[in-house]
Amino acid sequence: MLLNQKRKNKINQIFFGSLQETKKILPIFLLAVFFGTLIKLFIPEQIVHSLLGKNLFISIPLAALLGIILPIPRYATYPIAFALFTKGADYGIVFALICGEVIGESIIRDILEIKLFGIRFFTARFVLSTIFIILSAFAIQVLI
Amino acid sequence: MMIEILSTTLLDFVKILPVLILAIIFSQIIKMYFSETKIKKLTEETEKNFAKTAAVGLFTPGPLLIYLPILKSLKDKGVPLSILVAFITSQTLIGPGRILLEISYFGPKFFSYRVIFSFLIALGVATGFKFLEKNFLKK
Repeated sequence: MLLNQKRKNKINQIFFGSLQETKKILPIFLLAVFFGTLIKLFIPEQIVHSLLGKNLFISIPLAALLGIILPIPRYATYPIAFALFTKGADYGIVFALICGEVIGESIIRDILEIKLFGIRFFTARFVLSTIFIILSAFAIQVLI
Repeated sequence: MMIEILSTTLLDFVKILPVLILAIIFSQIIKMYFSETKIKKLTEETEKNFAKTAAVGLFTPGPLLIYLPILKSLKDKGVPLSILVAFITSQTLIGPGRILLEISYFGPKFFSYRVIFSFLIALGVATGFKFLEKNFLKK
């Protein structure tokens, strides 16, 4: 009886947790799909090529920086990255964009990290992450 | 033109919606069964645990925000900062919630490469941080 109640509570928690998370993510995700569609329909392949495909030594760091700088929320990079991918962006660029987005995802998180661990900890971790993401993107570009 | 944009958006959205919801539920389930004590256990030792900590980070769900207070308490208990860096880096780069979504967009091959490289990035960043900490960050 008690076990059943516990299981019920857990299922409830999972259900309501999922609902809350969905409520938070869904509108942003819809917006991201909309942007992805705009890229698909309006940005000519040549522009994507010239920005993110001509010279990988420029386009991979550029994609990582764009991921960090642009305020793209969690999960919302995928439709945008996919739209760029279908327009001819390489795997290395997609990798750099996704990884850049996740490390620079939330200002609130960054502020809390600085508050708890200090600015030097945050800066060192951030700079090192960016360097290693760019290097890995080059490796992925060669491997895939 | 507007109708074309909206219908394409809606079609793409409906196509990916079940995957997104499944991904969210999946991350909630893992969040429920992955206790704080498990994380603490794996970060108790020294810098040699970079790989272990990075691996734990890869499979830890949810935003990093919720783990930061736990990591602070680990830091106060003497866990080396480089270990925390390994966890933070891998935790932010990959999450269980991203598995389905990423595979559905880019395929399993790309995702497995991203997992492997995220693990390597976490190791690299932790090692780099250890070096910086020893030589430049400490007063």
